[in-house]
Amino acid sequence: MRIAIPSEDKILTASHFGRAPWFVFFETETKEYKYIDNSSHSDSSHGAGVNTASLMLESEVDTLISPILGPKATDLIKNSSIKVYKAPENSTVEEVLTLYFKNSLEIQF
Amino acid sequence: MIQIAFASGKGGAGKTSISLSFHKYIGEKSILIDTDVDAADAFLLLESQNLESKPFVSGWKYRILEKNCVSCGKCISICSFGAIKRDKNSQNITINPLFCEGCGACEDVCPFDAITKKENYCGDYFISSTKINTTMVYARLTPGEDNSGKLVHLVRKKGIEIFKKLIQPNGYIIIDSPPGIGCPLMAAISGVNYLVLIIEATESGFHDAKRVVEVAKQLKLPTLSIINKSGLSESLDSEILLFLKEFNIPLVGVIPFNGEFNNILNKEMFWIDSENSEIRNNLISIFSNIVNYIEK
Repeated sequence: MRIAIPSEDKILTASHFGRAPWFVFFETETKEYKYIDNSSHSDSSHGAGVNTASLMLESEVDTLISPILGPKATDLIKNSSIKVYKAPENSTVEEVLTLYFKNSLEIQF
Repeated sequence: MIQIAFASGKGGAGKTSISLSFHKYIGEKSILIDTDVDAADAFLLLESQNLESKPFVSGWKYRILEKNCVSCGKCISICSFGAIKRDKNSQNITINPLFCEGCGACEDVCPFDAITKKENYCGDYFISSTKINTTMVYARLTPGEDNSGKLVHLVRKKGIEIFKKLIQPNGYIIIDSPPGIGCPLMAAISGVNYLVLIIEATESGFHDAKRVVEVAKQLKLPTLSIINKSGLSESLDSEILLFLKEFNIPLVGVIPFNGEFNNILNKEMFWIDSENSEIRNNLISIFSNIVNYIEK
């Protein structure tokens, strides 16, 4: 299973889904991390949320742990099989994953 | 760090005046981020001195490389914005930068590598010190450029960096939001700890405030409200109160319509420094209500 977490710098979680410069993909089977450069979307003037949501769909993400999604990204992702949890503010990717495996994250949808 | 954003949907509802007074009320424990980059105006009252300024670039502008261009005109027919024209006499082709949207279709179709691009300079953003010994981060767009979530996000990010350097962790980041409910507003308010909705008690003010409430609900933002210019229509005032009750949005204060507010601004004063004690005390009680909500 692939878990995606928006990140500022590959370590800290991002404060905004669409404008996250990086995405950390964690593969639960192999315990591998992949770092995806999202700057082409996060740097765009408009449509950052929609384009980043498309990236999630294209990358076959199963679970997304993110700050609250905006309306357009919500529309896209809600109609997919991706499960979305809320990332606590000012946390690291590691902390978020630990909370996820403890089942203590709030569900967005 | 408490991030609190003032938003109204409609322009001219009192966002800047109220957030500036709130900034003065909280004082050195806060910084101000003016994200209304289309018409940044907080700097006028704060008489800010810029400490640092950087250009802001977004998108591209395309230009013809005359030495390669054979005036074939392929680019003219592909351009959806009518930005490329041929001079009747010289046959030279030029791109009007005011019409160029930066899509790059011309570059794609040009067989002669005769089109080049440059990052588009849209304006500048500033870190500045204010006359009340605080720090403000804001940006000013070049006329004709449109505000974007990208720029607002950048201004906010700079503000947070400055805050972490200068202010104690329990201080406030006060965000003066742009009008509307589009991309710039989303970037200004997403993830704030509190949204203060300023409802101008007019038909259009109420209509636009309701749209902000929809966005705030989507983003799950704790929302407080202030009614401004109240008393113009009794029926509308009570309609607004019913709406706030229905949506469970706490009302932290009501500011009655009063021509005096313009005079205060004309004198380059903060509303909260008004010589009129009724106005002054009302604002102080509104702000202490906000702080009580946040710090309770």
